[in-house]
Amino acid sequence: MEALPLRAGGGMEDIIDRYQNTVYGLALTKTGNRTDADDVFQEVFLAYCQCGKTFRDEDHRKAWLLRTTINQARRVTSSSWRQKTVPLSEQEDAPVSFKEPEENRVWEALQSLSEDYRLPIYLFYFQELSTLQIAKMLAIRPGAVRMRLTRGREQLREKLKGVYFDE
Amino acid sequence: MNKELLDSMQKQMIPSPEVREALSKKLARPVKKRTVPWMKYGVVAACAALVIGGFLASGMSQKYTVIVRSLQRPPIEAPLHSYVTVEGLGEIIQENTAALTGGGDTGAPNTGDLPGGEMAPSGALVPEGDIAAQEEAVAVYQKLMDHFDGYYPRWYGGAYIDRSGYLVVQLVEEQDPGDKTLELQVLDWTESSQVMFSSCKYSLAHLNQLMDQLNRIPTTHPYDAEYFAGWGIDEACNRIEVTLTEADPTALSILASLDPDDDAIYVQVGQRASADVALGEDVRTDSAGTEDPAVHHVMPGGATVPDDKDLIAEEPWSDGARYDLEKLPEELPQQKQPIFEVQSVPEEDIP
Repeated sequence: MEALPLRAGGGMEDIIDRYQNTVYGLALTKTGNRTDADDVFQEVFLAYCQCGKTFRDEDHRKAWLLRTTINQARRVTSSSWRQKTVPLSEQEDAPVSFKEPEENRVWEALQSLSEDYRLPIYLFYFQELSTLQIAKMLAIRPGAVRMRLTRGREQLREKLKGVYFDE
Repeated sequence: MNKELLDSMQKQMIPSPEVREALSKKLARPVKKRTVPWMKYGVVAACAALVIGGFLASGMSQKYTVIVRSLQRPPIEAPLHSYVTVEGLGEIIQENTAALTGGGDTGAPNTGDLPGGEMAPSGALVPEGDIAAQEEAVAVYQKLMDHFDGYYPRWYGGAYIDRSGYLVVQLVEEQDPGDKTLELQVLDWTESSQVMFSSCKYSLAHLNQLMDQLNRIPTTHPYDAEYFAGWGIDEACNRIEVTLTEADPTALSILASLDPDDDAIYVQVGQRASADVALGEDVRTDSAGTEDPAVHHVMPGGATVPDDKDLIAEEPWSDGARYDLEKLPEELPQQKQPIFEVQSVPEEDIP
């Protein structure tokens, strides 16, 4: 893997290429629609470019990007303006679609979970973070992360009936 | 979970090319310095000035100050009453000694209200002087009280019997010294030559009024009442004596508010019943040399002055009988021994 400048602002295209899936996937999981995820994605990398921060290593940079994504997504989803408006077109609020029907079913099941369970499940299985990293990111105890993962898995198993779900 | 499925999904979670292009354009723009929202700050400052101006104009500031002062315990600006610490200094407590010795250093009995008790009659305990003269003075005092009938005039500052057996009637200083009307009136009421007059600052009615306010402290200041061990009027000294368990600033500020001139109330801080050796031989003392107070005040912590006899502390002892030497019994009783005798030698070692 090519070494990227640890100071924010340099090599932006390479950094976006490397982390766009991470940031966009988390934003999509948190917001639930592509329009808001697009906004969050742009805001996160603009904030990264302007912060002028120097990171210790890639893990530090990834953690910063994920934490900033969560914050930006929360800002978008919890704004009173957003809560009191209705999208003009259905396309704006259209559900995220994947290529395979199984993928769509897993996504729908994931989105049906409450946010407390959805984010740990996404970070653990999609981003492959440890429970300790997730705990730091979400500012909760590792035990709470494990509990949420257990309960989130149970709910997913119930929704997916074990077809696409194996331990 | 199915890792291939999740990887496939993750790969599809990418922004559209349009979004990526828009981001690249935004990043290519020179970074603008965040403008200072002066307009916003100005509006906030104007609102704050409006609120403060309205607050001051409506007179709420005075009410607010009163509330804040009432919340402060003790108030910072409140003056504190002076006090005397008697604990550990060997000083005689005035109120107890007055009741037993006939007035302490002034030679007059304390005839004021004792906490929790009735008015003590003047001369009730007068160990010195001519008994007949003192009895006459007590009778004169009763005559005077009969004329007052419980309502003291403004000129009357109290009365006490001095060592020589005279009834000393105190007149408030406000009266004209040259005006002998009151003295003649008192002499007329009492019909006795055993009466003397002296001047004082406060009337007994005023002191009684202060006593009423002190009696209301447990209800008006329930949190501070625990510091007040006792209070009563000392007519000879023309003041109220208050005993505090400790020099609490709040209690002292309450007393200062009742006594702005700081001379109507005499505050003692420390335990009562501490007078012992300095009282003299005629003072009724117990075996431990401590005076038995006229009123048993509650000490800090709720304990009263203990009784003389502590039965638990007495060692049990078998008392022998007394015998007539001429009629001695055939067998003498055993020698006195404590009931609880320790056997230092084990039984098996005794031959």
